[in-house]
Amino acid sequence: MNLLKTHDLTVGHGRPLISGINLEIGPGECILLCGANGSGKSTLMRTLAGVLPPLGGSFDGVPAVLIPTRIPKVGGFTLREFIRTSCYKESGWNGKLGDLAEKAIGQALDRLGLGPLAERDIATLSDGEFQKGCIATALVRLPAGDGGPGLILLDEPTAFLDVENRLQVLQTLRRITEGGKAALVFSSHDLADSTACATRILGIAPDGRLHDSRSEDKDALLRTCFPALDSR
Amino acid sequence: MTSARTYRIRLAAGFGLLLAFMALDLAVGRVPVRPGDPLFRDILLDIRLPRILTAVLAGAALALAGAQMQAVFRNPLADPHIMGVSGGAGLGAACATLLVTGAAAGSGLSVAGAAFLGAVLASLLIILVSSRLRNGTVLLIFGVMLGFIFSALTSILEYTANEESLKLFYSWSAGSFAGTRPGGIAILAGAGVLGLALAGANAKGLDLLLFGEDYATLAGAPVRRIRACAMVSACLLTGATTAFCGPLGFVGIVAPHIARRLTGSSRHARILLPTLLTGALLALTADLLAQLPRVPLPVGSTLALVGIPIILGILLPRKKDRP
Repeated sequence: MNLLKTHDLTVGHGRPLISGINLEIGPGECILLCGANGSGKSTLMRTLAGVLPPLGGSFDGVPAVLIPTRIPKVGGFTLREFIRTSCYKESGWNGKLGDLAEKAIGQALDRLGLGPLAERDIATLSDGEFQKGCIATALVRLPAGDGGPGLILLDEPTAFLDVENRLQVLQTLRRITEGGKAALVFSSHDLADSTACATRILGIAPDGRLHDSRSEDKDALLRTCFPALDSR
Repeated sequence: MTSARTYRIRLAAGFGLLLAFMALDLAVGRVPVRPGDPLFRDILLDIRLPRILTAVLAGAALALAGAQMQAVFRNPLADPHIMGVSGGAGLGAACATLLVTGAAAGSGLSVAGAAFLGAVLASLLIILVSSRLRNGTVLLIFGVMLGFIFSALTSILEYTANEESLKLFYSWSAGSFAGTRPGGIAILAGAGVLGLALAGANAKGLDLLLFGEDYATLAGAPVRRIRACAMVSACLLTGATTAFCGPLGFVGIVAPHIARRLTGSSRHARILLPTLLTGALLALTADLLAQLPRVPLPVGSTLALVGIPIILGILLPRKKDRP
């Protein structure tokens, strides 16, 4: 079963950034999306999340949940309240949720090991703990809730994190997809740690083509997408 | 973060403090009166009570407008005064007092109406620009610049006006809670109820804006509608208040910060009522200070004297925050 299938998809803002994307993503995959700055990583994610219209081609599959990069840690919200904010459509005027949604939040917190931090102010959490909280907002927004089929897109979840926090977040990404019904695509500039965590790599080459480690060697893919690696 | 019980206790204490301040303010005035004096009833009911009700409604309204603007612009210093809305009202009032001649010139109603129109004009400009600009800092700079433009135009009008008109305009621009008639209080109360209803209905959307427009959009929130609703509410509250009381700063900035500190929360559903109470208490304190000397002081000045130390207390790092 595919969670996502693209057909000659072209994405960009007015002008194409990546074209001819034919991609299939199945359950349990943890995919690294890499490429140079401005290569179109965020644009591809925003298109798959339905925020940006494609410039050409099409895609079908389960609705994807996108978590943007660098969400500010606003003080005065507990971690549980922060996760509630992401359920905008399901909540009442004062942000209150029904029992089912509250249960899904509790499950997501437990699954990510955040249960003991649920009532802590997010301003007091470490960057890594908060980033895991952001991942929890994606889990509760999956169409069938946490544990159901779905596609999570994370735009640079390890940006600005120190080594310890980065490794924690990457381990979390791997853990939530292993043997599960959901798949995850995350972008990163940190190739060393991220390639070790990912089960598959998608790289955007300078010519605007998407390369897939399913069909080509991982090292060759990285050298195609980052020509500077060849000169080292 | 305070528990639900502590929150309710603090809210009740806030209401109690508000009633106590209202009673205290009722006892203070230019003319000392005691029960049994022939003018006791008239002074209390016709002069002091309307002044106190105006202070409570104006303080609450400005505080509520500030809380919404701080969420919309994601800036802790945003308030109607800084964003140029009060400046727009000032220009409107200047036009009514310094330009208009004849029977309507400088009448309370025409000044209030013109100030309200000026506030609406400034708010519309900000809403229009905010729909195109995504950067909150640039938007804040735009608001400050707008305030300067309105101030410059007002100065030009002042420069060309006669002495009598100038005196009338200065008495409005210095700020006062006195002299509002029952009709004016009813308008202030109506604007307050409507503004609060809009803010309450928008509370969870305002929460989302604090985490950025991108986060809010991806969570499925109608960001444009949330921003427009907040600005309409802030415009209504500021326009009505400035029209009757003059341009008053500080309440809009300070009150939401105090409410956040007291509740330990930034959730709007939780801070709206404490913000209203804090704004009303600040305005009453400023009014009390204004009434203490033999000649009442302008409320705009006493509010600044009350507000500036609080703003500095918020901005300056506390001992435990220092590295």
